[in-house]
Amino acid sequence: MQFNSLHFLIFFPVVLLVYFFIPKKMRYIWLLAASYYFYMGWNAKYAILIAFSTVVTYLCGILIEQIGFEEGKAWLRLKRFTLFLGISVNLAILFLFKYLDFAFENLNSLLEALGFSQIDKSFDLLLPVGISFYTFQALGYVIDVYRKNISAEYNLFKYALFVSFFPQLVAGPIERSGNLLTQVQNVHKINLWNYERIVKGFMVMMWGFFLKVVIADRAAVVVNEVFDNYYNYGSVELITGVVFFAVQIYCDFASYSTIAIGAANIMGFTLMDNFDTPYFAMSIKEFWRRWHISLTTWFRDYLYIPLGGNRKGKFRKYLNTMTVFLVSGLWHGANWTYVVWGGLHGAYQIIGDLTKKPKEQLCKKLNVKTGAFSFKAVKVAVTFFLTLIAWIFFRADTISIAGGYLARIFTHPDLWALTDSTIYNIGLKQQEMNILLISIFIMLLVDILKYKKNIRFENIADNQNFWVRGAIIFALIFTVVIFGAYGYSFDAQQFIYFQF
Amino acid sequence: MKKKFLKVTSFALAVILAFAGMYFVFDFKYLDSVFKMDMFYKQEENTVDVLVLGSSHAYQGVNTAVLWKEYGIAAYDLCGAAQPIYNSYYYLEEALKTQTPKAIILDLYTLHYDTDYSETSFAIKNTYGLKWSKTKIEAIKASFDSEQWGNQYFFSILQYHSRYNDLNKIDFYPYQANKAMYENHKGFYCYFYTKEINEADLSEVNYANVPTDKNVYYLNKIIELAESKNIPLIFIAIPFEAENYHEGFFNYAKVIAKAGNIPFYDFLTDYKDAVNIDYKTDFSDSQHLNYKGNTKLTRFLGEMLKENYNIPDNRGNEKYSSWEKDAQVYYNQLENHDTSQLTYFQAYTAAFSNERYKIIVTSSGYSKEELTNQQENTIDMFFKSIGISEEEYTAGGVWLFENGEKVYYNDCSKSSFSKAVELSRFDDAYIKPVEKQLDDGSAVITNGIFVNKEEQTKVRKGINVYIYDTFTQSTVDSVGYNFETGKLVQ
Repeated sequence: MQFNSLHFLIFFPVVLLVYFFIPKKMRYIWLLAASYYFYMGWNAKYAILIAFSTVVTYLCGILIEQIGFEEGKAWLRLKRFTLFLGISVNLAILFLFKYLDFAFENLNSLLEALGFSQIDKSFDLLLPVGISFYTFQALGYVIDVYRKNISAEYNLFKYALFVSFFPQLVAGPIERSGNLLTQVQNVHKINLWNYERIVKGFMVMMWGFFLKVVIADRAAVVVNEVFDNYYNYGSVELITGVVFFAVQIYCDFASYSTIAIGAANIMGFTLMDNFDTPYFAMSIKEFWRRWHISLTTWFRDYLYIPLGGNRKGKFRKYLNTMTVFLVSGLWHGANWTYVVWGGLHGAYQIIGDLTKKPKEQLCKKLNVKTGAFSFKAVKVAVTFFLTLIAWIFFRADTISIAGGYLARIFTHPDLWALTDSTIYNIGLKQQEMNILLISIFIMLLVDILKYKKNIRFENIADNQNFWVRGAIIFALIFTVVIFGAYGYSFDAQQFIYFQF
Repeated sequence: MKKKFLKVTSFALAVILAFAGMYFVFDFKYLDSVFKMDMFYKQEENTVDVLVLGSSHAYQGVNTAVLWKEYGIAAYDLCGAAQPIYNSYYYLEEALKTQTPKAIILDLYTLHYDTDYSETSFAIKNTYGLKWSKTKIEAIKASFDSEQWGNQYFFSILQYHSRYNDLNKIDFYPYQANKAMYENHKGFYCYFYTKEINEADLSEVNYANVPTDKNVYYLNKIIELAESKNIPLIFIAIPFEAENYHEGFFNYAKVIAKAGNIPFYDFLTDYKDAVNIDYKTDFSDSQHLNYKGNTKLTRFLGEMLKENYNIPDNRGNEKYSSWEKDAQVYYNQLENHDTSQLTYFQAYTAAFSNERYKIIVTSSGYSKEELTNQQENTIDMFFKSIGISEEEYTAGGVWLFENGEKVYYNDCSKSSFSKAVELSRFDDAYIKPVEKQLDDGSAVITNGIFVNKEEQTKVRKGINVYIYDTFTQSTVDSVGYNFETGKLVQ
């Protein structure tokens, strides 16, 4: 089930009510049952798949640990083989469900180009939601056990809960065993009745809903309009479209993590921060330290470093960087557009690294004050601009559409669109557009507070009276309820990231 | 702990209260549908003697005021905009829980609908007003495609939360923001303007169109339900700019009606001459009868009901006082309409004794040399019959009449003159001098009457009369008597 559904509105309070009152020893069983129920809200059959991945990685974990106790080369080889087996089985499932269609498509294009007849794929598999997320989480666990960073979990149900923990199951954050599994193991020790924690968790959840239903789903209307009909628009609308997409994808994705973090918090769990004001980054490299942090660090720890990281010379470093970003692109979706998006980000970083020294020298020569606000602002703007170009590829259905979109920005300038209220005619009525702009402004303020003063949203009212915090929560509830894009007159937007 | 409990409780209470407030404001109150059902629940049990079901054709066609005033029949138009047959069925089911009408009139206009579900807004309109019961659940299931959002419909906030776009005053006040006018509402709604429409010759239509299975199914259910309760059912087809295929569907219903021994009054063909509807004068638009048309149609129905069904005359019965009050609404509107149709200036003097009216009169004043004798006579007669002295009206100025009496006069000799008049809670008049360019290029300063910022004054040199009805809370008329031409300016 989705977070922004009535189903969840009933599901979550029921889960909480039982969770808070059942015997401590039963908690993980209850959460596991709830998580499977949550996941089966999409499609009951998916449960078999996640259960299979769970059992495979669970057994791998135990095997690897047990083999690890033995000495000798043969054992070491067996341990490696077990790891290899665990990873391949899971990646094979991922490939089967997510990339098989894509592979066939490309294979057929190749065959056609070479003059051979095409292969007919006679079956169709539905992509299970969140498969990329929980697969990565489970793989991370197996590798962690292999590296002896943690010890294997022998309680199948506790391990299953770690893989399927419903708040972050389908769209992250992708948790590490060191964090989440440990908390699952100690779930019976959590002191649930902590008023402050519960209130803050609730605030975080509401903020997440605000980002999702008030901003992301409203921005989506403009984005869909512009991207679907890009050939009808000039540069002002096209730029507006991609800027709104940047807002949409950030709010959409961050909202999911935010709701997950808040929901987990109410239940006494602490999940990792997944987005840290990414659009204030001053370089693409920094952007990736702030954007989808759990995925970036996953790739760093389980792909980039094993590939050699930056320890094997410049060339290998760049190659590794490119590999990671191409794979990351593919992880986001089985389409060449995502690969280009990843490739762009890889290229940005390599170019950024190559030009670092010359840039510094140039600044020195020209006596540029690199500490000045204006200099930083330019860097933020340039970084944002670079991400925008990449977002066009991310959002467009095909590479040629993305290319057409990008080209049109330069070939069809229409500055008058800024003055003839065109902005109120691209999908949203004036009032809706104003609500969107005001909401984005509020989000921006909250992000600035976090960036500048490191004050998180839920802590804004920390030193204020009860009434101030009450008023904030109150306002948030009714902003979401009234201005949220749900129910009649709006299509409930699927969380964009579910299919990734 | 106790303090925290108190905090959480008071917060929860505030949220619940705010939700209640939000519900009050955001809730649907459509006059063309939801409101009719809301008001139906307010009817005393077993008072509705004739129940009318169907579309807007019926609620603008069957005039409950005329039925009451002329025949003493207590009817209720339990209709809805574009009400499909299946919604008529569920409305009937709901109505029979509290009422035992002596006749049911079913308008069959929507029999030609060829889709199983209406557009969402109409589906909302024809189900939303129902109170929660098995009937409502069944009605929702019948009205919405469950694949799309059927199960979501059960939470009404999903429909109304996005209404922040079109909230207006009726959302903040009960009874359509005019309690006096709507607290005895019987579902009937009337237009007083006229549009000439085309009259097609349907007499040649001798074939029948088969309605959708769903429509046939629910039409039969209506027949069965009425039969089981032993209440006579009457089918009607109300005139509109119909085409042949419409009549084809009515022909189908005639077959069913004949088989079930149900009278069918098709006012488009069979009973066309009996009601004598004039397509030039009796419609407000291509779909609906206006006050003239619905009075003709209703008189026919009144006679027919009196003759064939055992319906008591309840005029004077205390239990039925709300019908008397509701009928008065229509006759007040009719009176307003008649006032607005007056063609000579002196006739307006009759309006001044009407206690519902607030009337503003301005006059630029004159000297006798400027006027012809006939003009002078008109002016004299006008002012004298509304009780204004010659001294006042030759000087000119501003008069205000309320409850049939003069309550204010100012000769406007001070250049700083202005006067605010609260017409009703939502309408305000403001009288202030405005400089006007005359045709010959010279400028005069006259008093302008502005209602909600819009100028109502008709003449610069002459008398202006602005009439406002405090009951319907609307402008009745604004006319002028031009001293230069001696003519009435509408």
